[in-house]
Parts: sequence; C-alpha cells; structure tokens
Amino acid sequence: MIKQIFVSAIWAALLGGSLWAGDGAGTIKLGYIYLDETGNQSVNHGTFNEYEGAALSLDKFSYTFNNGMQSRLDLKRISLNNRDLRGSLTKHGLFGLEITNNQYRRFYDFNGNTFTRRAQTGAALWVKPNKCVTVSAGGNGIGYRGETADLFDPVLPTAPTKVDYDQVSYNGGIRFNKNGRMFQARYEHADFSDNYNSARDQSRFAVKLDGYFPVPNYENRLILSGGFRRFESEFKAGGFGIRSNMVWGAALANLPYNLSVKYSFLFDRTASDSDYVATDNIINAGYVTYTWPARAAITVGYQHNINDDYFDEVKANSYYVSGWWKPASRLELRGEHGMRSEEVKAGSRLTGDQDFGRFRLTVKYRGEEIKFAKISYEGTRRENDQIGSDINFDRLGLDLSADLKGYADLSGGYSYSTGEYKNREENFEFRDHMIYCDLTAREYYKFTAGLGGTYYRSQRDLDVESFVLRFSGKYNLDSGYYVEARYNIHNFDDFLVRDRYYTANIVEINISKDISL
Amino acid sequence: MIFGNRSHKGSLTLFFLLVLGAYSAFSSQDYSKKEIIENTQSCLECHDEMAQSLAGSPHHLSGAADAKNATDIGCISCHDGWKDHLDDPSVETISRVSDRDKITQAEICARCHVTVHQSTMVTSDVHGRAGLACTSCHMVHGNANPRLTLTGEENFCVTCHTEVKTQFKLRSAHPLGAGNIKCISCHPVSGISAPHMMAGLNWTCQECHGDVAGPFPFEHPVTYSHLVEGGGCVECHQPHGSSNDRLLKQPGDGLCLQCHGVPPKHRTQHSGLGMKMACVDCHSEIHGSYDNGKFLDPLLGTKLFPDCFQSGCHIFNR
Repeated sequence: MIKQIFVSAIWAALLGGSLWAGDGAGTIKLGYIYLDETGNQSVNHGTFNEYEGAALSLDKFSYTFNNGMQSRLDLKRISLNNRDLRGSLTKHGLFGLEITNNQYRRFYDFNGNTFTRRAQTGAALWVKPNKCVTVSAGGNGIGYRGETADLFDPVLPTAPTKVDYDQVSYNGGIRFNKNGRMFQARYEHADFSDNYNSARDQSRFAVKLDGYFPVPNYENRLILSGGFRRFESEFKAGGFGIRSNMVWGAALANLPYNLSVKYSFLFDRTASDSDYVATDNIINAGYVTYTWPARAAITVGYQHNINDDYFDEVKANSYYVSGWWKPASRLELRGEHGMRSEEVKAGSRLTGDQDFGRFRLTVKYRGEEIKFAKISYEGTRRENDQIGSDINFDRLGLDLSADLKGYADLSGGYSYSTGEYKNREENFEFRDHMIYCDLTAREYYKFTAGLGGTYYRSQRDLDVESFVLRFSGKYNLDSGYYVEARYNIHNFDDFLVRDRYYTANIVEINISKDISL
Repeated sequence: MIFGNRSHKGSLTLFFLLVLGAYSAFSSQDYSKKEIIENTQSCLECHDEMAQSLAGSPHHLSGAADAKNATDIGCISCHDGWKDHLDDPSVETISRVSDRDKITQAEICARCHVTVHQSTMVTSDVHGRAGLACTSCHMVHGNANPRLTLTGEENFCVTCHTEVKTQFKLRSAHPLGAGNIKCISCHPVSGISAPHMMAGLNWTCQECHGDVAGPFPFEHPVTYSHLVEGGGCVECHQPHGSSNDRLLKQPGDGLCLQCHGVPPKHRTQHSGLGMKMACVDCHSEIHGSYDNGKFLDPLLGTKLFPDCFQSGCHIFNR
C-alpha cells in the first residue's frame, strides 16, 4: 500500500512536470543485489538491511515547477522487503509537505530466523498564510513486529519473545514571527498499542509554548526567551500515569567591549500516580563570553541543579570553560572542559555522590587540497565513591579529507579509544582501534572508481575484529545511462565466543539513468 | 477521547488562548514588498549574478527578473548598510553576513527565521557556546542543498562531529548508515533547553522505542532522567554506537554492577550459580515491569526455574 502511494507520487510528480513544465533532474536506478553470507547473522549490523533481489531507486530527484514549487524525491531500494523513501513538495514561503517511509530489520539469532522489523511512515505539513505566521501539522506511525532473543546469551535455552506494537503520533502547531520576535505553540499526541497485551496500551501528549523576544529599543543588547511544557503519559486501562510541567527562561545581554552574558533557568515538576515517583528539577545557569572578533573567544559558565523528590534531594554544581582561537586563517584550536559534582543533601540514592567531568581538545586545519585535517582528544570521567564505581574513557581521533590534485577525493581517519569501568564486583576494560578510509577517483575515460574500508579491533575484555571493504565502479554509457557496481566484503570475528562470526560478500549491479525534465 | 479529559481541556484552552494572543501581537512588517522590490532591483543593476545564485532557493529575490518564484526577500533583507552603499558603492559600505559576529548573524537571520533553533543558538545551545555562527553551517548564495547546509550530505553534522561518525561504524549502532535515521531524527535543531538539543524527558528515544517508554507500574528509576537516581536511557546505552551488543556501555553483568552489588546469597546458596548467570536471565524486565518490583520475568516460575518457587525457598514477592 505504502509502495503504491509512493509510486503514485512519482507519477504525479512526473505528470505534474509535463502539465506545468519546469526543470527537474535526478537518477533512476534499477538493480540487483547478490548476497552470499555465512555465520551468525545477528552479529553484523551493517548487513541487517541487505536483501538479495531486485530493487528500484529514484535518487535525489528534484523538480522545480514554473510557479516556483519544488518537489524532491529520494526513493531508495524499493523492494518487497526494503525501502527508504522520502518525498517533499515545497513552495518557499508558502507551504511545505514532506512524506517519509522506511523499514529496518534486526536479527537476533544465528540463522536469522529470529528478527524484528520496524516500519515508519510519517508526514509533515507547514503552511504560511502570511509572512508572520506558520501553521504546521504532522503525523507519524511506527510498527514494530517480530521476535527478539534475550538480552545476553542465556545459560538455559529460552524461547524468543514475540513483539508486536504500533505507535501512532500526530502534532499540530502555530508559530508567529515578527521583527525578530517569535512565539510558537505546539501540541503533540501519541498512542501506543501493544497487540499482544492491551494492558500496556498508553496515551501520551505534550503541549509546548515557546517565545523569543528581543527587548524593544534594545534589540541588539537584550534578548529574552522562555517557554512552558506540559507532558502526560498514562495507561489507557486504569489511568496510571506520569505528568510533568516545565517552565524555562533565558536572557542574553550583549554588553560593551565584546562581552556577553547569558542566563537560563528551568523548573520541572514531574509526578507519577505512584507514591514514590515525584521530582522537582530546578536549574540555574550562567555563562560569560569574551570575544576577540574573528580571532578568539573564551566562555566560562556555572550551573546549579537541585533535584528533589519526596525523600531525597541532590544538589549539583557544574563548571564550564571553553574557548577557540584562530592563530591563522586556516587553523583553529578549540577546547572545552566541563565538570559536575553531585551531592546527596537529604535522604539517599543508589549511586550516591557523583563527580563527572569531560573535556575535548581539537586542532583543525582547513585548506584547499587538504580540505580539513583534525586531531581531537576527548575524555570523560565519572566517580561514584560510595558504591565504588569509576569510569574513565579517552579517545584520540585523527580525521582527514583531501582533494588529491583533482584526481580523487580522499577521506579517512583513525580512532583510538580506551575505557575502564570499575566497580566493587568486577572491572571491564576495552581498547578499540578503528581505521576508516574512502577514496573516490574522478571520472577517467567515462569510468569512476571508488574504494574504501573500515577496520575495527577491540581488545582487553573484548576480543573482536571486524572489517568492511568497499569497492565501487561507475561506467558512463552514452545517452545518460550508467552501469554502477559495488562489491562489499563484511567480516566479523569474536574470538571469545565461538559462534559469533560472520562473513558476507555483497554484489550490487545497477543500471542508472540521469533524467532531466 | 482527549477532549473528554479535564486536564486536556485545560491545556488545550491555554494553548488556543495563547495562540490568539500572539496572533494579535504580530501584525506589521519590516519593509514593504514594494520597498524590497525597488531596492533589490537597484542592487541587481550591478550585482545581477547574485539573483542567479539565489534562484530557486528559499531566498529567491523579489526584485529579480524571474520573480514569480520569489518570497518576500530582497538584498536589503540581509545586507545592512544598503542605503549608504547606494550612494557610495564601495565594499566598505555594505555588510556581508558571514563577516559579522555570531550574535549579529543570529539577529539578521532572525528577522525571518525566529525558531527555537534560533533562540537557543544564542542562549543555551552548545554550538552557540562553542562560538559557532549561522554561517558556520548554512550558506545562502549558490546553494541548492536542503536547509541550505554547507554540504548536501543528509547527515551533515558528521562533517564536524567526525568522532560520532566513527561511533556509527561500531559493532552495534543505530541504522544511520542504512539511511533509516538521520542526525536530526534524535537531535532536532528546533528542540529546546535540554542538553545537546535532545527533546527532553527521554522523549527522544521513546519516539521510536515506545515499548520501553513507560510509565510502568514498577519503574526502574534509572530509566527516567528526571529522577534523583536517574541518567535516562544513556545511563546504560551509547546511542550512536557501541562495541557491545544492543548499544550497551559494557557487556554482561558489569553494567548492572555499576549501581548494584550482587546480594551475597546470589553467590553462595547455589554453589556459585549466580556467578554463572546473567542478571537479566531472571531480571528480564529491566526497563520497568508491569508485574513486579524486582523486574523479574513474570514467567520465571514456569519458564526457567520452576523449583525456585515451587520448592518454597523463594516467594515471588512483588
């Protein structure tokens, strides 16, 4: 049914083009995928959505009507099992309509017999009756069905768990813009239906109001913003639920001497019908930024949180500092550090006091042949002394994108990360290496080639190795036709668990045609 | 049945009252359309290539020759100093938006684009705090990309967030590569106030994973980020990708043990049975239970270990 709608949409767009004339372009592809795989299908996420068989695509089709209306269609891999479809119709400044539909599969067992399939269909519409007003509406449906396995490999054999639910949501809103001021209101509603157990059926809604007001006569100096949210979620049977009200506000002051000050607050009260779930959140935050125009900036900030329920109260102090510096026009250095200390002031909580910190340092070069080169180092720390839990994560990343003297585009990178999760019972440590690279050559004698790969290795408490090799080629036939082929090799090995291995060879051949209307 | 609920009625009434109030408050325009067209045509006498660079885009000029596609936008909508520039057509008298500081850029774009994305960008958003301006991600002239992002990539964000790009290549990952989700599926740039542009109250994850959204009669507190105990879904899962199955931060019982010690009897009463079992073999309803406060599999008594309860050693205590 969905497919019919989209095929009709293609025809409607093409027919519309012939009726109203205009300009359009895109690529139609008809192809076939050969799939040869061995091993445990559940371990390699990259091939969950590969199906053997024929598929039709319309890639990045764009059509502009003479009246300025623009349609876009991106319909990928339409087959009996698979699809990823997006379409839109827009008249800038007047209206826009976007429709999406896609489907995703996930395996849970060795032979691929236990799997779930998630299908999503959505639509969003906005209309501007005049320059200052935008009315929007939309809807989304998600269906999730199939069988899942237990979370970890069970000691004793267990039967797969059947799942079958639908979630349908819709929304509507209106936004007013004028002279840099904005107010918007939005209503969202969702219904969850479990087709195996109607006692789980739930209904949820949210009302959101947001405003943004530069202060009259001081528009460049003082900006106020704020909003309110009401959220409810409850069981259809019995009415048990959770309710939340939130107000937030912010002020930005641009002071003389390139100094700016920001302040924001948030108050959130959330309660459930049970007597042990009711919490207030109060957040106050302030940031001061000093800028050397086009050269550098530094920001320091402080945030205070109070998290208070009936029995317990936790307070948190957070500190933030960040900055950027451009010592040369092509070079940029950035740094960011945040730390947060949570203290249980009253009562208790399972995780006790907590200290959390994160940092990131980045050096980035932007050039012409070297489009960008980036080195980044980041890390997070978490300590919960009272329960003996300690987390350390560090990552070093190198990324590069280059134009190889007009012959090819190169992008690649290397990522090294380590993690340590310690607690009183046991530790978990990992050390990951990842290398990725893609090289796409420019057209040479009507032929374009590409190759790339990803290599991943995880060691210490995990012992996993996987890689993907990608080869592609495109030959330009006359009359705007192309032959495109790709060959992907997937390999996965878990050296600690015998049956977690997988290898796949995937060949896809497409006949493509650039269309121009 | 939403209109039959009193609390819904109140919310909807408030909603419509505020909408009506705002409608009356927003009533005039900056420049008249005539003013935009006349002055834009003056600009195009020298800069006619600029009309072409905006043709077919959301900023198609009102004063351009092919003006039937146009919105109410002209050169003077964005380029300050145009009055001086008409008298003195030197480079110094006209402003380029990308040369302005981030707050001025935000103000210029906000003449039309005043969304929550815009407001948070100069208040609480991490990009604004990191010094990024509108033109760091968007380019107006000569750009046919959706949303006028600098590149046409669907997941444009990873051009800067390269570390996230690598996370999506890990062993278990959300299907970004398969095209089923995009960055903005979870990080709507129109979202507000919550950290990292998340929609807040865990609603981001529950948009798709409604089965674990709750509320549950027996909550696992950590799943709600608003609770004292909680960190939300991301307390256990790494949403972009993970080296472990199901996006988990760490495999096996270690994840549970970050917060929970193993009760001594789990170790001793069955000759170490507890050490050989995964926590979730029995506590399978870890997101929240409809049946019991220990998040035990409601069918545990018949499914796995019938003797546990039938022998009288354990009572299936809710």
